[in-house]
Amino acid sequence: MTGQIKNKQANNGQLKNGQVNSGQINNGQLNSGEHESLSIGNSGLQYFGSMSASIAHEIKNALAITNENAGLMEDLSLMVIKSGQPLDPERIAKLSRKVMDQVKRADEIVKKMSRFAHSVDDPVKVINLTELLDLTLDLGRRSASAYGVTLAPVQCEIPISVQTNPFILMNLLWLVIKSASTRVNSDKQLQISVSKEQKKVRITITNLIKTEDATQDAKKISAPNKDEIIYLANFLDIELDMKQEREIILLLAG
Amino acid sequence: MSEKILLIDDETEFLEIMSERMKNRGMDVTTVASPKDALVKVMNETYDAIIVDLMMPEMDGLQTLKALKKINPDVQIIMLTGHATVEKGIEAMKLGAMDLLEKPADLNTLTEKIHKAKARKMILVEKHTEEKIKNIISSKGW
Repeated sequence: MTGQIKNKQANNGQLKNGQVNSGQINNGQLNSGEHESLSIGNSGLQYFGSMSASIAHEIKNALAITNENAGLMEDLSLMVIKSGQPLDPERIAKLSRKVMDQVKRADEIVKKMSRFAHSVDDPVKVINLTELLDLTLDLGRRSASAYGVTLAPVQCEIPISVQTNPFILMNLLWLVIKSASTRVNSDKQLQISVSKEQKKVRITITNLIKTEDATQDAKKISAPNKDEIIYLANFLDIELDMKQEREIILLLAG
Repeated sequence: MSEKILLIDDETEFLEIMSERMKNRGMDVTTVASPKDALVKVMNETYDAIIVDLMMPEMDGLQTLKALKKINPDVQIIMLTGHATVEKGIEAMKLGAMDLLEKPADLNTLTEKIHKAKARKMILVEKHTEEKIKNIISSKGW
């Protein structure tokens, strides 16, 4: 994770079995900027784009509700002018509270957007893993719900810090979550937990079933490219086990 | 006669406030937060206009549009969207949406579109009635 590429080979720009192939590797080394751009690649841009679109939708929804509350206050004022009946102060107070709630909601969304945008600032950083997972899930909830999957809050008993590339880890986690969604159990809720195991940190995604037993709805979800997932895991030195029947395991250096 | 509207959006607070404003303008509004519930409503009732959010859980707006048109090809659908892309707009129109409005929408603009939707629906109803009468006359041989 210092900008050096380890055990990875060049091969006509094609991606195979987790090997990186840029044709731009000089003696096995890239500077950190080149290294990161290469790793963000198409899936990173897609991830950034889809999360940004989802954030925009959430903000627009908050704005729409604010707009309608303001519009209703205007309607009520016009009715008062027409009818001459006094305005109910409690009604106006209730509408004002609703506007404030939506401003708070939009502010929370913008804060998350800002944290997400800054996740590309540093190629390597010490991060609170639970916070990063929470952010990944919060941003992904609307996209997941579009294909009928809910994401349970992260289960983690102690704060765990890891040194990693925050954006690429978020991208990897999202691709793994999307892949897990194609074989989620019939209650359609993915459970994600984090635990510390000696020198490793374990992220487990559970409530899965065998691919062949997945529901028809789950089978309709387009699974992300496995090579991309393997490549990102290799890039971050994460041991990834997607072969278990009921869970997916990611092991990070702790 | 007031316009009969079905409003479909997963944001319940939006449904609540929007329907109140529309009712204040004399419209008869039914709200549903789930596209699946909307399909049931459309099977049993007719509406002058159906307003659908483009992005919803369970079933997105375009899938909902297709399903509603399958139940009743004459339904007049106005799409509401939080993040309109030209492609999505074109796709919605190709699938038979009457119009597309971006959130936050201006209620006066939406009301104009609802009036247009009602007029279109009435033309279609008259056309179908005329066809039915023609069929009856020709089949009876009067």
